[in-house]
Amino acid sequence: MKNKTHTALPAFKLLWLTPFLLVIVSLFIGQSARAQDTDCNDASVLQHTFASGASWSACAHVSEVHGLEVSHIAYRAPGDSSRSVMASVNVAQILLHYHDKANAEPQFSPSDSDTDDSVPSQTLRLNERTCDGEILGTDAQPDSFCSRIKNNRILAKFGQTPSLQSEAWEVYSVMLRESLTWNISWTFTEDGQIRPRVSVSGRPSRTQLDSQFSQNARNDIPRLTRASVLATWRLVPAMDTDAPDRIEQFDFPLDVAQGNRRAMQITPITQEALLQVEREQFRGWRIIDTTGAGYYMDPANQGYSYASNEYDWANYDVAITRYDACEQYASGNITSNDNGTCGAHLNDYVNAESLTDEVPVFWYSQSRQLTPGIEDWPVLSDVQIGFDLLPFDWTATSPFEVVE
Amino acid sequence: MPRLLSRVLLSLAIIFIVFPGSASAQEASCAPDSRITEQFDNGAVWDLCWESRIRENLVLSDVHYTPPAGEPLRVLSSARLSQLHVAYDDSDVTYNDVTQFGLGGGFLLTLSAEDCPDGELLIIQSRPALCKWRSTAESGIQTANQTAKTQSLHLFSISQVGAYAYITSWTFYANGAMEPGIGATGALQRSGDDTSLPYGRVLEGDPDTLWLSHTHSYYWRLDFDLGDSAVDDVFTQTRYELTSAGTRAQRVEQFTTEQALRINPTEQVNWTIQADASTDSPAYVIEPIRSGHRFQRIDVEPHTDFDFFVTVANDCERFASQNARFNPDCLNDVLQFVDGQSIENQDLVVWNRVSFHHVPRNEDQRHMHTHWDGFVMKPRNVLTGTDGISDQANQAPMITPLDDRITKLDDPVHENLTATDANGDLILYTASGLPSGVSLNSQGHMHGTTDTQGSYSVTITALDDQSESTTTFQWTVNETGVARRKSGSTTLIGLAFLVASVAIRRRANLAVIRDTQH
Repeated sequence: MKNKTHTALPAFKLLWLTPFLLVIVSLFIGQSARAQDTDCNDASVLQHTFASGASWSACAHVSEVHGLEVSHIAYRAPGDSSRSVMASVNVAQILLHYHDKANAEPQFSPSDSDTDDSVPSQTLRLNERTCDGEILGTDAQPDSFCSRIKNNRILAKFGQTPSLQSEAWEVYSVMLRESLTWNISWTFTEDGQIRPRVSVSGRPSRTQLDSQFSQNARNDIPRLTRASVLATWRLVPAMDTDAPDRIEQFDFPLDVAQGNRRAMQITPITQEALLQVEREQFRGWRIIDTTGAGYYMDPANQGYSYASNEYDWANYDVAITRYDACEQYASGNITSNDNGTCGAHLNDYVNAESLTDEVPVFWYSQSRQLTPGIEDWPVLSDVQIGFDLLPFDWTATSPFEVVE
Repeated sequence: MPRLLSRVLLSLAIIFIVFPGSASAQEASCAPDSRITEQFDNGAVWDLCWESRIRENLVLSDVHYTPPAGEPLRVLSSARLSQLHVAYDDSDVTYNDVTQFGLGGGFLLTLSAEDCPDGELLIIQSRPALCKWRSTAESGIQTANQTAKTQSLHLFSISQVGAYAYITSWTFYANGAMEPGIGATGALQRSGDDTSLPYGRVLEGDPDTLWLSHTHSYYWRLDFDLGDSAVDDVFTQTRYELTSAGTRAQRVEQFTTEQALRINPTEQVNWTIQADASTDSPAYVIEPIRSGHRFQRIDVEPHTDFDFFVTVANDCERFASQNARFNPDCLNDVLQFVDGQSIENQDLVVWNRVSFHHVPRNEDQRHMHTHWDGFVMKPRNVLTGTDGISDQANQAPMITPLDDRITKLDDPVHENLTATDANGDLILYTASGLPSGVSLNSQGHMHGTTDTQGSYSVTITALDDQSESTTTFQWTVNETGVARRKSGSTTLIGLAFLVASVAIRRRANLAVIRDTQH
């Protein structure tokens, strides 16, 4: 399925079109779609339609410190209306923990302002060598993110009927910190999946003589220090209707006495909590609207466990909190706002507050390793961290039927 | 001359008898229509033989990788999926699809151009059933100056087993990495009538059917023959042990006997197969990233307690489970294959399991969207540098040297460092030894407020994608911001010494350029 359109214009340039667009949208699909009549403010309006008719729309903004942040995300399955999925998503922190150090280095540093030039990380201004798609940006952040279409391989196959092929749409920005690059990417697949991803590359520059903590890449360069990376994402759902979403934990514990059966247990998360992946129980989480439509987060590629003496929240895989606009980042958060003070990090946000009739926020962390070898000199072959958010009862059946 | 030739042949025969496992780093040997040789833009080549068997379907053999401007490296003697184990949550039915049904023969689907839109269809038993296609991978490098994705070769075929369609996939990357994978699509297989049971889900429009949740466990069998000899490969497990100080210390354990191992996320364990005992010999590393689901049913299938196995190659040991079904004189499962044999100077086989728990959703009706599983084997000591960048012509950036300085405590610092690059590359900056309170961002802005007195030896490095230059200087922070006098006046001798030392230091401060190309 080849792409039909994908556009990105600063929101204000589209404002004069809004009344016309609304009329056109209502004529063609009969329902209003929240993302399409939402003002992106200073963010870019993004939209992509696949050949199947599936489409995504969103607002995108690149924070100088925190990379690409996407909001007002809506998905339209073929034959369906455009329906809101997420209010906003962002990478909430990246901890880079060199193995010879006691503590991690947060890659998103504390800052009172995104424009404060005292922060040691920057967004890369993209060009044709660093973006193999369309270079996009806002007036404030020109050329700050890249949009491209990817092959998503076989979507479905059954018997001798021809395969359904599919595509995915990716937007990403690149953040520079010291000599490393952090690619912050959001992929939206034709069948409604959201794939957040962080990948690290760039020049390895930390060295260490002690072989317990370092790797000998080549004899003519100093030993390169190994590191663990913990990426944490913040997802603010806005599934389907305006009603606050709920988050449920799915467990499938093994019952040996019952002949190794695994009964599904669904536990509503009713108050703020820090949670762990449980591999033996196949634990996962569903974000669900009152209509029953939702998305499932299965930590299948959880990777390694991370441990921190400094950040207690980093010892957990998942946190669920009540939405608070000023709780943006897992650590290094802006600690003051107009209404008083915000927490500095994720532990401050988890206070056992009730989630009933409140907008929940889902925080998820994954860890990988950097063990630079000869194939990583002079540039690290990228290490990717990411997961899939899967539509779960979003539609009554697959909107992509294989024709028999 | 004939006598000499016969001696040479006799010698070769003796070598072959004495070292039956030796395998030279030659190209794959098989019939032309069973051989795939793929060269990438970076000059790297993958060369392999393939066949489709009734049970395992795709079996790859004589797999060689030639790095850019390098020599061919024998990697695998053979590679295949060795079981596809499906256990339902109600525990009433378990399938071992490879041995109970098979992925080849009549289960193999004939492919059309729609199945292989950008590739080439290859013939299996007189029908097109294997798709070979090239693409740009999702992995590669990202620097301040370029994004480069590695190229990849994909091979896949599709087998219809019951309601499921399994896509058996192998990906070979231009940078030497390999990735076996399975895509599960088709339709849901098992359901029940009792919708009150907690072993599945009732899907929309079908209120009287409980579609059962289940776990797919995929087992791959990989016979590594890294390098010139098949019998000198070494297997190690690497842990990264968390210390009380918060550091992580590497612990490498070389195994000497067959092993059954578990994924250990806490100690960030990975596994390495090396060509020989030297630490810089070519190797492949497996990081068990798909660690979120651990299937086990130990009382009836003890092998499910483990994720990774290392055994001595034995043609009798084909399948991870139900092996005796087709090999009655052989042991039955992979855990039984691990029976204490020495793996030193033996041909090694590794078995890797990846599990996925499938909870039915409305979107699985009527046909499921493909769910992919697999793992990556990354090369180590196979290339001579970063793929796609280490062979590019480049000139190092030139950093502007900085003079020694004395500044006052609590003084703010705002300074933009400068460097030039003949290639026009974006230059990044790093620093070590800066005074407390001062930092340098990657674009050369040094900023902050000095908050601790002292004398600091500072090194600034300017980097492009491949090389760097450095400058060093001494930075003294004190209460006055001027040099302290030890006595009331500087003597002539002292002044002369000061002038000389400054001159020497200035000379030392000339930027050091290092081109890290080779």
